[in-house]
Amino acid sequence: MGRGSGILTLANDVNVSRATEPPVADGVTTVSGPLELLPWFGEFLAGVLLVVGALFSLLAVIGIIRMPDLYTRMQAATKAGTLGVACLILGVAAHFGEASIAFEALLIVLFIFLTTPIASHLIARAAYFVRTPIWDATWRDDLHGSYDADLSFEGDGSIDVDPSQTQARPAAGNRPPPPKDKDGRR
Amino acid sequence: MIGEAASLSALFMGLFWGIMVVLGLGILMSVGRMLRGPTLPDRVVALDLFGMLAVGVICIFSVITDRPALLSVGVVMALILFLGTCAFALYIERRAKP
Repeated sequence: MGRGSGILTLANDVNVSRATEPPVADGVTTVSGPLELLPWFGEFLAGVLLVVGALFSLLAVIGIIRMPDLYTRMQAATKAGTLGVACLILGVAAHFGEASIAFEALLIVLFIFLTTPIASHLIARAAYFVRTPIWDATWRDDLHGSYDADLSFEGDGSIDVDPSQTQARPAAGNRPPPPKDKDGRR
Repeated sequence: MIGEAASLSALFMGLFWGIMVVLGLGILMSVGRMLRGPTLPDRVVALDLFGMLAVGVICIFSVITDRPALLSVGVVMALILFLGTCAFALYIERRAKP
């Protein structure tokens, strides 16, 4: 690892070999006292953030493989994936330990936090419009009956509902919650 | 102290390669969902996750090769990912209404 392993550029000049030498008199490049622990703390923070990020990314992938229908899959991929990738990028920023790189990394994290919910909302909306089937065990559908009519996408973007063409959704819609078994699972 | 630092560095290299392996497995599994997914929105969600994992891989790769300029590639990739997902959502909506 060639680059500095500190938190900020201030701590970059404190490397391991210098810790055993007597402090230099100019006092600019040598930081004495508890700041000497900061490079190790930066590496520690980077390691923890990277491991957490990798685990959350793996959780997102497991969710997208194992979940039963589109909507649950999408929430697993979006939430866990966003947190995982954000932790990874913050860990990379803590590893490099320079302010400019940290700024760029924060830019990526901010961008992901802004765009991922919007993108997943658009996908879920489109999928609901094209009647993507809902899992059988889903007992609550708050949009049931709202978008089942003939949809028109022309005009000002609002959705005109023709009540004469309203038909029931193939899914069961809102049902009472099924009773739980003794394990608390449905 | 020097040997300690070298072993710590080796430990971190191992950690980075382990994270690369985890992210690579995740990319393979999301590609599997992309190939298998019963509907088009499933594939789009898998593509979204694929792109996010690719951004993570790019960041880890910038650490391994010690080139922090690669983070810019992550910015651009996140941007293109968002635009692509929005375009797919619009396409799915328009396809339902001829």
